[in-house]
Amino acid sequence: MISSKKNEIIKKKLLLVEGADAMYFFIQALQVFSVNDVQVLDFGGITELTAYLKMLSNCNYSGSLTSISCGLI
Amino acid sequence: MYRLNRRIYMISKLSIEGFKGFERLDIPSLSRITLLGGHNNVGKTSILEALFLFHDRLNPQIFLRLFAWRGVGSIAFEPDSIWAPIFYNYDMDKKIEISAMINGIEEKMSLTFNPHYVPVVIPAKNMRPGFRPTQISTDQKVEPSFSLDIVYNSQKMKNQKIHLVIGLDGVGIQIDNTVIESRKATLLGARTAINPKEDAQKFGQLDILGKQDNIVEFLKIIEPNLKSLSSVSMGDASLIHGDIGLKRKIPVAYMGDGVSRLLSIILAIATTRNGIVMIDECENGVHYSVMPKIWEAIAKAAREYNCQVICTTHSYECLEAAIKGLSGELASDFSYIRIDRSNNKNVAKSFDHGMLKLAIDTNMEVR
Repeated sequence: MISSKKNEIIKKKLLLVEGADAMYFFIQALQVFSVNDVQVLDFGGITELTAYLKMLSNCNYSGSLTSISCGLI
Repeated sequence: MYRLNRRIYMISKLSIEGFKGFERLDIPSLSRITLLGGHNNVGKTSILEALFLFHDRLNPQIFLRLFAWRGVGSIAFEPDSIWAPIFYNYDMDKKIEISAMINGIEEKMSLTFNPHYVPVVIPAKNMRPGFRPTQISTDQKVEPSFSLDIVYNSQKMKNQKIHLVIGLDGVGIQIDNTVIESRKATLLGARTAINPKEDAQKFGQLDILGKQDNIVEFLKIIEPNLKSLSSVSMGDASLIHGDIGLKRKIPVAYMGDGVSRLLSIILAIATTRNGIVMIDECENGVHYSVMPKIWEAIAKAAREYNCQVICTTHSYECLEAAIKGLSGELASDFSYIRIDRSNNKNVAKSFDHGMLKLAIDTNMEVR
């Protein structure tokens, strides 16, 4: 069943990763190490990262972001 | 057929201060087709109302229409009921300022409440419409009244002054000095039902000029079987009928809400040439599957009639449909503005077609 829930930035720390595989890896890894204040988002392809960051700055977020990191596997 | 007219009337920037829920809002970029989104009560409809007020300032009914569009049938006849709702925090001691960058030049309007307005006309006794009064009392005094003083600076004339007056006889307008601008504005409210009679009148205006076939071409985008439209007298009103290849013509209202809604929108655009059309909750009454074609028709009509179209939406499907329907050269005509409220400040975030497409492709919440 396809979820209709949309992505919103809900945590202060953001980890941007490339692709669904990387996204699920980091979500699992953060859970294993009980890291609860980091949100993982898939930015698509590396060529879109700049555009993605610009788009992200216009999107919903509750509270203020304190850090954005990029994760690679 | 879909020409990009060189002489474009375009509002490219808008600032609103002290109006309704906006202490201040700056929208740095508007396009030919602009879609406004955001949470409930963030002020999307208020932006359309500010734009309409900016254009329709010579209409003494303007504030009554603002209430009508919101579904309010009647209000108390006093400034606190008629005018206070448009002021930020209902504070009529403050000033409202609306400024727009139009074709690169700033035009500005300010509104202030004047509780001591003195009318320039002293009414004579026994006034009858169409007849010159024969007497006036020598002890006649001018009764102070309430007014909303509008000062407007445009390209054609600085310091135009207009007073919207609440007097003993009703709501009126007193003009100190102004120029009549030729820019039209039309607002299709969210709560305003499709009005077949009004649509028939607009269609009639185009029919007189021989422009009715253009409307058929736009409607064919969602109803390919449509061959022609005509206005048919039905009792004391006219209804637009369409030929879709059946044995007889049928009222457009019978063809489905999508066709009726698109017809209302296209007629609004076609009769607001060189002006601005505002559509509140543009997705109302339209199935999501035809929404991309609705957008395509709106964008092509806006180019054809040299119109700027500003819409509001709550719907993610409407955003998806805009991306899908406004492809190719139409994409450059479009932008999406998300209105956000954070720390009690209103902020406008602008997405062009590419940025909104990326947001939708990555499933980001952008409403």
